[in-house]
Amino acid sequence: MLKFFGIVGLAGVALTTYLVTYGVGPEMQLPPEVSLLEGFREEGAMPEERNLEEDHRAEDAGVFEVPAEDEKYLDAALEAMGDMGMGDMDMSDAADTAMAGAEMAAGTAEAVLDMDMDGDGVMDMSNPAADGSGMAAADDTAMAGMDMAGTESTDMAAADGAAAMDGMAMSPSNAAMMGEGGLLITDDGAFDREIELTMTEWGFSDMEIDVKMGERIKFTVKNGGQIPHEFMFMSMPLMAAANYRATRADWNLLEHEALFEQALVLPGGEFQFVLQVQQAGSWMFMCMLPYHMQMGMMGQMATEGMAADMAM
Amino acid sequence: MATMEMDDPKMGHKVHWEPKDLLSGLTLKQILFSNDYRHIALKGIFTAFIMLALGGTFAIIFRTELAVPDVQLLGARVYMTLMSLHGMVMVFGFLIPLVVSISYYMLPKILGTERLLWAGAAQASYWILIVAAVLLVIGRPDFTWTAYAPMSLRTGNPSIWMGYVAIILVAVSEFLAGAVLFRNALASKGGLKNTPLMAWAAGTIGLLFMISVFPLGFVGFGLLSDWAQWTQVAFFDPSRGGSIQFFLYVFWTYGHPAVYLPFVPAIAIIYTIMPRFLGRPMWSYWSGVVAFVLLALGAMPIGPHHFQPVYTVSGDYQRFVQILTMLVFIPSVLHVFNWISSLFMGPIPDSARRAIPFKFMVFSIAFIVYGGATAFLNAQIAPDSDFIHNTYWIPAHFHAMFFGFSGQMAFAGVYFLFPYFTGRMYNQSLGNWHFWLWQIGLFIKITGMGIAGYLYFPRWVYDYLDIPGWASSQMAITIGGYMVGLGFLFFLVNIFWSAKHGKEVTGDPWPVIHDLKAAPAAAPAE
Repeated sequence: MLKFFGIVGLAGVALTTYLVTYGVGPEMQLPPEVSLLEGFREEGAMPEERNLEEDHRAEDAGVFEVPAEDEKYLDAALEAMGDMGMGDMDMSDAADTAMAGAEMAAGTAEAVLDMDMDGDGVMDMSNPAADGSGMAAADDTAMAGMDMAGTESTDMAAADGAAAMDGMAMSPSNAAMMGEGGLLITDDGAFDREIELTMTEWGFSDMEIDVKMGERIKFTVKNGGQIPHEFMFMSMPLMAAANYRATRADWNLLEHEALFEQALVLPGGEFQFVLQVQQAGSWMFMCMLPYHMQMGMMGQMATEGMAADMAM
Repeated sequence: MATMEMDDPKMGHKVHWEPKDLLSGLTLKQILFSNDYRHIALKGIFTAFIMLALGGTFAIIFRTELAVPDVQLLGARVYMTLMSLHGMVMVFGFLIPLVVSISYYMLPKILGTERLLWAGAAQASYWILIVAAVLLVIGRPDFTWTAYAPMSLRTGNPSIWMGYVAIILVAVSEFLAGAVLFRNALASKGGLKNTPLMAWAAGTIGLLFMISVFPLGFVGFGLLSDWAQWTQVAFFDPSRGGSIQFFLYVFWTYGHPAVYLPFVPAIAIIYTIMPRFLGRPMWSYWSGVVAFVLLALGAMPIGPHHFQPVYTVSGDYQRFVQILTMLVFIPSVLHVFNWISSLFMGPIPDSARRAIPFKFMVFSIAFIVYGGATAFLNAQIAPDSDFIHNTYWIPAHFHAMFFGFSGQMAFAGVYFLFPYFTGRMYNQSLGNWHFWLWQIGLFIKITGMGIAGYLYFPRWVYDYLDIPGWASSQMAITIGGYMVGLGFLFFLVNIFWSAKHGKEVTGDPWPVIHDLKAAPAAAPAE
């Protein structure tokens, strides 16, 4: 019995190991270049009316291209990291790195947030830039043009233990603050009406918002849930591109191009902004934490007659 | 040869029967299709060793690949294939069948039935698993053993459907194995108060097997259906309206109980052979019974802790899962304290100190404590989602549990049974080589994984940057892996050599002798 299993085992292990490594042929050593589904379609194994038609419009629009600037900032940041000791930043080459830091810091709000959990449970967030390092310069640069920081919620050190949100650096990708995408968003100003939007698991208190062109609306977005959430607006074309990317196997969370975004709203936290609708259209708003959107935290704001069918 | 003492449940229903050479003189038909429980069990045990050799060879190859950064031996897909097959073969092919086969061997002896009830189902379970293993290696999955959709649906490998069919077959095979274990546990005449702990383990885990494999079968079917696009309905493929979250919940409803499928029978082996070596009863019978029942009850609802960092589990539900997960520590710790108390209650006989199975048992207890300490961190939401998830910390945890504990305990069981099914004793010094190579190799490997995880080394990477600590910890893991492989070679040589040339054993191969110097003549044969 031992001899039998010895022979079978030796042969089986050798054969299997060969078959799954060198026996598979060079074409299987690398990821496929063409979708498997293409092959199916050519063979007629998949009906034409099935979905998954490759949509190259998003690619042609440059959704997957890494902006040249990103490369530049990444290089500068890596260079700066090379100069760093363990956590101690040596800022000998100031300007470039500072600029890079500005973009990077603002791009990922979490990176610049220093969280202090006080005994009373109040979450206190501040930019760690105060230590006078290059990051301070970076932050100033980021804030100079568009000071979205410090909304009314600054003093929300709520006694009931709710975590308060300090104002925080908005992402430079808040294109809507420059009036792109048909929305003009400011941190304050005159307004025609107010909308209170509460985020919970999983959804918004108002999933369909009807707006009129030219209207100015003051949004108060509150996190009424139990875990942190984030908030952003996206235009429909960008949404379509993201949706397309999500169908791809190699999909990864690329740097999105939101019209407006507010990172990391802690439970109980809130923030406000005033939005002006500059043109007819529809926009999506959602939480951008992974899977929150898929779980239902996704709503639509549209002018009359422009609402897209959300049940796609 | 049951005596009053041997019927004491605290003695694990002390197993002893006459050693006999069961291996030689079998025809091919007997080897393959005999329904004798010993033949089924031995077939399962030796097949599990082949699977271990296979999974181990895969591990050695990709460990070599990972040892040094920036040097490639294999294509990335081959690397991922080896990684996935390593996980699947080790869990479904080696660990679960090995502990189940040992239970097949021991249960009829301990319960005195002298035959495996529903042996046909055990036979079918074995052959279905063989078919599954063959399909699996032909299908060459490269999406890790968790088969997360949509990654597992986009491999571009035209034969991957065999991998999905293999998942279904594994579910069928495990269902049958669970049914056999459950049926045989019911054969116990002891009632609630006098049923051996191994039968309690077989009963609870058999039930868990039978319930928990349905989600696994559904996962296999869903993947197959989504991949082949038989219908307009997609279960898991998000591009066609399926749900990844659905996949996660379904898979881990099986996936967490799957962790206990090898774990609980391995615990049962301890309860059976520990009193045998110590010559005194276990510290507590009822704590073992309660712990088995609690483990089985706790296994099903806590699956979501495997994917809580992907933000599909939240709020009160997440806390609920975390608390339940931490409650599962209670039965695990009941077991461990039961063993430690039994060891500390009195002197450890000299005969036990030099017995290889006893040594493996003691060190597997050390490894369950090691793995359990890491589990305490894993179970908590905050460190898990912020630091631990998808780093090498997780392999450190489950290699300590799966291999350090369950695998080594299964080997303790095999060493314990060896004189009974060959009629000869294993070679002591080869056994010692095996033992020490494994303990040192496993410790280096698991600790290296822990250090790599502490340095945020991500799982499932094919190559990596030469960041301080990464390359050295990978090299350490590779060296540990080689030591484990070498130890397994010593084991193979040992069983092949000893089955022919080992010292013959008559009577009890495991006598309890407190002072070997005073009674050298009665020393266990070696």
